[in-house]
Amino acid sequence: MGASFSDGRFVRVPASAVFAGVFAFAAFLPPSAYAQQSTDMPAAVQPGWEVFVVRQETQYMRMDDPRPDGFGSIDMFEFETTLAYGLGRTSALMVHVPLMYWDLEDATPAPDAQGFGVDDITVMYQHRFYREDVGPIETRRAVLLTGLEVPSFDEGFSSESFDPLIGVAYTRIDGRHGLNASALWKFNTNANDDFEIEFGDSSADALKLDGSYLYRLDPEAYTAQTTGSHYFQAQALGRYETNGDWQVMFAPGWMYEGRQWAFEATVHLPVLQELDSRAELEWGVNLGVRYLF
Amino acid sequence: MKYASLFGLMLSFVLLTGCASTTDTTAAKETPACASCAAGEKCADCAAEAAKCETCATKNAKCATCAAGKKCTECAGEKKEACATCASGEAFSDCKKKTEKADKSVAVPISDEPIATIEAKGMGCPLCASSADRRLKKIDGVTWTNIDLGNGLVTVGLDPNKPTPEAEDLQNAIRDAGFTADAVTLPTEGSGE
Repeated sequence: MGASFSDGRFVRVPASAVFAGVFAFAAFLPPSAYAQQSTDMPAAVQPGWEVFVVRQETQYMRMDDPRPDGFGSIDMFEFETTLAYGLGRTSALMVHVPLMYWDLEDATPAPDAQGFGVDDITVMYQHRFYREDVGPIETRRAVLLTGLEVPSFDEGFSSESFDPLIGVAYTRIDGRHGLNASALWKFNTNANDDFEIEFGDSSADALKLDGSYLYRLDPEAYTAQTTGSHYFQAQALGRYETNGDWQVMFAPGWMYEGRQWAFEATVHLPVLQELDSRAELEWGVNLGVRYLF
Repeated sequence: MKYASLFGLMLSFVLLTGCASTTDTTAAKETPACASCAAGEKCADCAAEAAKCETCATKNAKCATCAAGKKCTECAGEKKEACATCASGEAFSDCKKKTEKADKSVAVPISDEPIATIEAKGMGCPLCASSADRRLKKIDGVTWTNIDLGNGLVTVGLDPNKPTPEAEDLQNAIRDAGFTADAVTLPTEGSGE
């Protein structure tokens, strides 16, 4: 049982049912609902050949760790830079470099502490193995995700281990509707992170299971004069670790996408969480900018 | 509340980064009212301006928004675009040149320039259009592109002083960007020129 249940804020639901629900939301909606790319999860879209995209995200998370030996109240900032490059028609390379800052209050044993450092760097190779373009904007795509978390060896932030990643992502777009579903598994080969605060910090293997729905708010229809689009997005983000911890978040947000850049903002709210080995999320926000070169 | 200050700083950074790196592509469409417009009226709604555009559109045999083989005089999209961007008394072709210079992301045709069109599928977002634009502009002889996402129609301006690209080259550029390319119409294939 997770510490989050001690204050009765959350409803007890079997983890298997929650993850089945998340996946069903993402993958088995009726054919009338489809996809665009959302903010907080992988998608089956990637830069075109020789196209370079830089993405900068700033994420804030307010967390609480009520364990007897826990970290108390935690304010965490993650500044993640993603460099993505189209290697060919069906493949792309992505490098994620996260800078972290955390501020602990009422932590055990040090009541107050701050830290700033480089978390492990993730290198991902994305291969699109399925594509079916059925209309001017209508498409269905799927990609295989393979990658490696490379240790930064920054004490207090790095796991100091090379952790392989594998997963799949599916994207479907039809008219104003978008749908994404993804699953990403991390094989944690070792963990030497002194601060097991967030998802993936422990030595357990970890699974991200995400789904999202996007709706194009404006324009109602694309024309030759369209230079940008506004989207509403609703994401269900599932997190599971083989130590038994699991968590489901709801992350609604907004995105503006122009012809060369995009701005995105989402809020992260915990729906269900049963966490024994890391801190609980109270709320979070993610702001991002993407720029296409 | 040091974290709040830090958060505010990063928010500002993110917003500034987005703004600083952005070309205002809507500027050309928000041209202030012309001399013929009533106070507060936009050129697009101005009867005098519309009449002028009717004339200047006729001068141009073909535009980016016209379907293959269709004259501009029959193309509502072209009249609307011209009305919104032409200053009072300004020739349509001059106005188009200025618009193209100001707005690189939405190129528009210059009169007498040969064009080709490509039917494309799967371009579901404005960023997708940019990827296709970049691949097409790598082809020798391609001077500009205009991408109608809604209709899946990519119009390509061609340099009259260079050999016309092969249809396959144009299709491959769309495919390289990650989309499906179907029929290509080249200038010699009944473009209405």
